Amino acid sequence: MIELKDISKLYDLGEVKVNALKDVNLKINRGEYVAIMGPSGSGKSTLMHILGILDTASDGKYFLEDYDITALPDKEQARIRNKHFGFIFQSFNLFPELSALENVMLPMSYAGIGYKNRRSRAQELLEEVGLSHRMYHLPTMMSGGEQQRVAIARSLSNDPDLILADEPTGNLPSDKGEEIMVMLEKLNGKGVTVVMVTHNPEQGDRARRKISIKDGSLFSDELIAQGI
Amino acid sequence: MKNEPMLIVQRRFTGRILESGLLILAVALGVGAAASGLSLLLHTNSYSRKMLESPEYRELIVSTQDNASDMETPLIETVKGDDVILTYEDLEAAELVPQVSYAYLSGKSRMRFMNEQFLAEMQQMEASRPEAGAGENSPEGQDALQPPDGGDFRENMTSMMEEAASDSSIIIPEIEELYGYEVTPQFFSAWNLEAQFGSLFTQSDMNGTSDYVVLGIDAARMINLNDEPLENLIGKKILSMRDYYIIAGILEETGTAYDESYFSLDKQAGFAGAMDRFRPGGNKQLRFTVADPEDLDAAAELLSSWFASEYGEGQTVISNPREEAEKLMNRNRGISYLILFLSTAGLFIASVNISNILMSRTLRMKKHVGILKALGASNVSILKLFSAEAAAITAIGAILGTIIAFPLAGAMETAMGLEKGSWILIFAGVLLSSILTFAFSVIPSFQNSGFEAAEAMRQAG
Ligand SMILES: Nc1ncnc2c1ncn2[C@@H]1O[C@H](COP(=O)(O)OP(=O)(O)O)[C@@H](O)[C@H]1O
Ligand SMILES: [Mg+2]
Repeated sequence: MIELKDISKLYDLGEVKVNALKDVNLKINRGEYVAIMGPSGSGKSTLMHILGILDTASDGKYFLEDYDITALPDKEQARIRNKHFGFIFQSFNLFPELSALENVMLPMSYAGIGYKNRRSRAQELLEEVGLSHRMYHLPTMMSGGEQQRVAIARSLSNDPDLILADEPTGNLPSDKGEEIMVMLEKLNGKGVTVVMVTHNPEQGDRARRKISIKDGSLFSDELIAQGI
Repeated sequence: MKNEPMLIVQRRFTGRILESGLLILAVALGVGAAASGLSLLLHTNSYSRKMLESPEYRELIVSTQDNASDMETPLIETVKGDDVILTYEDLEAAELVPQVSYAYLSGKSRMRFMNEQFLAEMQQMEASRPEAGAGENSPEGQDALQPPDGGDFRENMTSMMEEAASDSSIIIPEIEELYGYEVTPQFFSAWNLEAQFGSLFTQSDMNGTSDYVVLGIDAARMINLNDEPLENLIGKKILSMRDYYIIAGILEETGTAYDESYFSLDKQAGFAGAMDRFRPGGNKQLRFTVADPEDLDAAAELLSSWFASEYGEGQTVISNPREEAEKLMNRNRGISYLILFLSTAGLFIASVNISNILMSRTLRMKKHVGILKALGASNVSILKLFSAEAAAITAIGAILGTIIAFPLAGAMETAMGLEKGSWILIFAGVLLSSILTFAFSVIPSFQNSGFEAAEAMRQAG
């Protein structure tokens, strides 16, 4: 599904140059559940941004379903993010001006879905994450766990093939984090590819593939046999 | 068009109502001032051009020294110029000046009508006056309200009236009076006036004995009591205080004050007598019309030497109304440019400030842009989103600015002595200044859409 070839990311700050990623080669197949682990500053978020086409690599190639997407025009890249990717962030990144419902509806407006359909789909999704009683709440009126569940609902609004979650439980108490983990696992069970950054070794072990990154280079890449 | 990204912008806008209100106010003031300034300039220019097209500004006026300076000069000095009397015959000068196409006399006059109402008034006056000692100091001549000979005069009139009433070819107007001009035949050609019915005066009428009158179209309607077709009025007589006037022609509509005026032949002009100086408006002003205003100076020079050799150096004055008008218009134009400069500077400063404020708004929205892009926004859709905000601010400001511009432009026009300008000019001004404001306010949108999503999202907050 995804193939990164010799991807490098260099931040040129004049005097200082930061090699956030160095010659990363990585293949992720459809349906995988990948955990990315590594110390702070090792380049995990940078890798996630490249995977999500939110950033362009300084060097290397990115193939999505065998298409080289680095050369695609901005509008096409935006369409891929919108229709095929779902993003979940450590700090939730909900729009504070919009209600939970409107936050979930937003990506569908870029997909050209009409208001009524957006609305009923968003309602369904919020019900699925157990927030039917919070639809009209603004993010500031919700707990962190609730906000992250809204974010998950939002990431699912256009039926993505790939979920990119950058430390989704990092800002949550462990019981709430556990709820999120369960949701991601359930999604993966339905065939959605999940790539998740985590600091928590226990969470890393629950994935089916664990990639370690250090100083911008892949350090290890192991498949984990889950208990049968 | 209602979608969630737009909702974000909208709610941020209303959530910062003070800042947004000030933005709109700045646009409104800038657009209002610039629009009225621009419309004033356009108006001044077109008004000047239109005004100078009038035959009035293709004329040279020759008058005697004292006549020309009647307004300011003390009486003692005017006596000196009394030696010179300009008459109809002086129009001959035109023959020696090739640039002149028409030469004529024209003086304001008034026609008082004789009718029941007038007789009643006169009777009343007689009754209230102990002694009928009138007739001595009547400054207005025959047309003055004071009858020269009290009762006799009235009896005379009454019998004339009775006679007239029984004659269907005589019109007794119900109105009190008409204003008009005593002119010589070329007046009509000089002013491009054409007869719709009947005919205009010709040179031979000057020597005739009948009193002819030409009516402006509205003047004709005013005396047309029986609502006859206007052409039936031709050849009929009007009973005035002075005499009968025969209606020779009715002018085409001009859209000017001439429509409500009458024109009679300047009969005294025909006699060219010394009597002229004792008549009201006696000492004549001669008018010479050129075809091309460029020729005014050359014609003035030739006329001036003709009159100098005829009457002596400095006895006559040639005035050039166009020169005066152009001076005034250049002054007005200068003021308009200044106003436009100042108001545009105001608009510019306002626009730069708006651009600045929107720029800082944009920076606060950086993280939003990153998230929007992650969720599927392209550069173009981000650009559209923030341009819509800039457009909304500009549009609301422009509407308020239009409301400001109307009274502002009106006040400036009044102050400069112009007639009311067209609203189209104001809208043109609003449009142009709004485009400028929009151009400035849209700059931040370009900056906003250019943020790399990943970088934008690393932004705190
Ligand atoms: N915009 C940027 N400019 C300069 N350096 C950056 C930028 N973004 C990230 N970095 C640097 O790149 C490295 C990797 O960052 P990041 O991918 O965020 O690490 P992680 O997510 O693993 O903590 C860090 O050293 C970080 O300081
Ligand atoms: Mg990170």
